[in-house]
Amino acid sequence: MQFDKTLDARGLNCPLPIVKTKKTLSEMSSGQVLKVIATDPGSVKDMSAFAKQTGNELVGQEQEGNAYVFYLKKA
Amino acid sequence: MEWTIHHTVLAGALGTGIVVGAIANRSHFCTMGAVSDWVFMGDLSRMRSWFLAIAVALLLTLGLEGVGAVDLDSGLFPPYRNGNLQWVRHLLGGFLFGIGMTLASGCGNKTAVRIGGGNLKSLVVLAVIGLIAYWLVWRNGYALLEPIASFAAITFPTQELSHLLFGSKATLLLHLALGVAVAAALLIFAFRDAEFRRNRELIAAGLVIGATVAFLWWLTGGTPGTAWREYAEFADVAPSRVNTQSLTFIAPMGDLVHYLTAPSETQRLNVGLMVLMGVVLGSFVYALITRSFRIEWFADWKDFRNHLVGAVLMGFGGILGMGCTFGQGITGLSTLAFGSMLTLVAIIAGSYATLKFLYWKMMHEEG
Repeated sequence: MQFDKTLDARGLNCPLPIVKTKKTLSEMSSGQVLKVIATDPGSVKDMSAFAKQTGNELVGQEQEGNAYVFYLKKA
Repeated sequence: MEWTIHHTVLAGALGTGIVVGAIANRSHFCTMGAVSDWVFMGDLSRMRSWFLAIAVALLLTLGLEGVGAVDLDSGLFPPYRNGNLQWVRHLLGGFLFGIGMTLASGCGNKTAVRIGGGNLKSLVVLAVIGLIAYWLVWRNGYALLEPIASFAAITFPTQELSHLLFGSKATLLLHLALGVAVAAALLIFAFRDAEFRRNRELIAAGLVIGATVAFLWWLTGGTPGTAWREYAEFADVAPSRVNTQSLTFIAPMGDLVHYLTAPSETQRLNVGLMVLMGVVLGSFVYALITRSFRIEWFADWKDFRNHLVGAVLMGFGGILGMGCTFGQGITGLSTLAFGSMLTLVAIIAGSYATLKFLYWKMMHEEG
């Protein structure tokens, strides 16, 4: 999947992956895609809820080994 | 070894912990996450689940009190309704705990749930909280905090809400009516949101966790609790903490260290400790079944430092505030103790302020 920026949140637990995602998205333009890599099992539900609540669409999600990868398109 | 009522109570506590651990892992129930979702997403789903748990715990506990099945006015651990309202203790302890749980990736229960899921950072957090709680509770360290805790304390016959509001006119009926009104307000807050009404997992978590609080009140203070106290009175070696009690996590972490200093003294294994172990076990089994178990370790030095500071604050704050988001935030509230309400508000305030600070700091960092 095409993306414009990557955020490596591996090893971090809630709330840090969400805090960093929010910050990184604030520096991006509308329509750009952020790739987030996380290892916290809770990040799966967190990212889904974050996308739903903030309007930044979760356009893709996959698992790479032990990591969860999310693609968020900035609203 | 002869099976006694003491073993039954401990087994019941362990089983309760297993249920709480499994459902908290599955539903993602998290009190710090509830505040974080609110701050960063404007999402109150997990807050609604938490408040649903409080409402259910409160209603069922009122039921137990109403039929005379438990007495929450005496013999409690900790003494939620004690008449010496040390408001500084509740506010300061709660605020410190709120900061700590935000830095350490979750409250006491979440720490246990994370350990069960393979998070070794949370094991370090538990060890630090445990050592501090042990020092404060079992090595008399709390004496150093006592002057702060008791500063400007106010004495009442009891700090149960209806007595605070209506004084000597308070009756059991008034207590029950007030409790139902509080629970109704919490239920309205929880279920007014259509999204939450469709979230079966968080609803189930709130219902089950609330019910376990009442179950433990009954187990330790109801009919089994009465037999348990009689057993303890005549036991050759008195077991630890034979009190009416329910879900709480910080003091039990200190009790874990207390037990580990002399593992052969099995009378030190108590209800709180069994619940704590049960939560780890329940979460572990759930993580294995769902193949979500994964070893996690500190990402870097900063991550370690945050968890360490958070654990220290949770240890001091949890003992000072007389409980955590479960101990005061659900169990204490089910007794309608005013101090529990103060601690809960202070915990949320501490967590809210820390989350805002973390975001502000991150926005001002380069890169």
